[in-house]
Amino acid sequence: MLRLGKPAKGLLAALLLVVSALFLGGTFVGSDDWWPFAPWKMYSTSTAPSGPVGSTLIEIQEAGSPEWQPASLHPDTVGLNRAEIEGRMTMIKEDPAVLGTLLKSHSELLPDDPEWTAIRVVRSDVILHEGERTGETRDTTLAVWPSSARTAEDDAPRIITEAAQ
Amino acid sequence: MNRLSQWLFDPVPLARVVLFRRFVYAFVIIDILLLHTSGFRHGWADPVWYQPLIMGEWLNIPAANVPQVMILKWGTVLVAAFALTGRFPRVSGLVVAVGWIWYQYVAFAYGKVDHDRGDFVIALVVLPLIGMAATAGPAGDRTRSELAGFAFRAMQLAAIATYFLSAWAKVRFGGWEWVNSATITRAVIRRGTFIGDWLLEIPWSLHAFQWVLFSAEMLAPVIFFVGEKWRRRMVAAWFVFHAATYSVITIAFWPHLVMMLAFLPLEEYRDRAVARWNSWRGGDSGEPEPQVKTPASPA
Repeated sequence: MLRLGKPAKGLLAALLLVVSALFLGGTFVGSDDWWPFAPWKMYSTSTAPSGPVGSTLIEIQEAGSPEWQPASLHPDTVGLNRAEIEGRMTMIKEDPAVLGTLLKSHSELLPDDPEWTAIRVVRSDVILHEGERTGETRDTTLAVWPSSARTAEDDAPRIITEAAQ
Repeated sequence: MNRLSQWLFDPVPLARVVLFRRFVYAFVIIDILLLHTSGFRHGWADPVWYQPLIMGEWLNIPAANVPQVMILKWGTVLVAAFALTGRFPRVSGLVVAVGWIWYQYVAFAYGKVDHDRGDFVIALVVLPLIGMAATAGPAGDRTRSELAGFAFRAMQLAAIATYFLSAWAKVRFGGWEWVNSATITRAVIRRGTFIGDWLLEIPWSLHAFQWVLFSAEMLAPVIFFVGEKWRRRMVAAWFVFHAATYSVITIAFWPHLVMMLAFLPLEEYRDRAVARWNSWRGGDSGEPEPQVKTPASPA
């Protein structure tokens, strides 16, 4: 059997205590910035059983076509994923020009695809009532770039009603 | 105090370390190449999206670019492959730890931190401590080591803390009413499979699932107070839970699943599998050796 000396054991136990304290601190007072000691908050927030469940998506226009079409919001297509865009909505609303960098990343990542000329970020809310879907979806435009691509339909939520489930 | 020390440094056979570190370094390769690739694409994202974490501010880590993510990705994969050979376990282990942690950092410093990857950091950091273990013979070294015991205890604590502290995070961010909220319904709407969609039709099922999940997480530390048999059953139950989660919302906490293996006597499973394989191939070579002591053999 390979034994450890008392000083080595003391040192390791002390290190374990420090790391435990960091994880506990992360959980009770820390934030995501603390990673790897960030709180383990996967699915920790409460969602009200009645009300909207939102997810964010992007729509784009290709060169020569003024029509909005849904596009993939994925690291392989724009360098970022949905949650990352959702986490930066304040910055995007303040300065929609940052969306222009997504068009640039897209053309670098997928040079053979049709070029994107405009982009808008949309929040699609599925409406729940007591934990069940009501069949209503509300799409709200959060930001458009370039601003010349913005039209009247971006000013109010677009309500889509599914046939009763 | 003495009993606590005995528990913390409860010796573990080196053969277990040899097997466990293979899982860890093989996982690093699979993870970087297949599972967690968002960091790589951040090389193409504009630096305007970079949002340094505390770690990055302290260490002055710059925004990602294409050469940086290329070096991190392929460098870490190469060194992890080398670590699998068991040679220079301390140096290779340390390089893999730095490379993998940095690569995760690149993934997380763009506005979204994943919450299932904190415990694996512990595995990468403690494994290089046990240098000599990797040189244990292929037949499995039964020498037990207190240092290895400590490493395994630390990894077990990290794995169980993931459950226990995530329950407390739910209390902190979601409140005690979390169990009655529509959080899992929301997750299913956002990324549910056909099984998830089917469960949406039975809203009480997802509600009940939240109660079960929360209770299981709060009670997770019980695993340290039960006997060997129940410990293995609890680990199996967690694997079933993770398989169920994956089938409903296609989310798996992959690195954490590797960590849960730290509870299992891997070398016993290996021996049993080898014995079964030998007996299946015919002959009685798979039979356990006779208990009669023979004079020490050179092997």
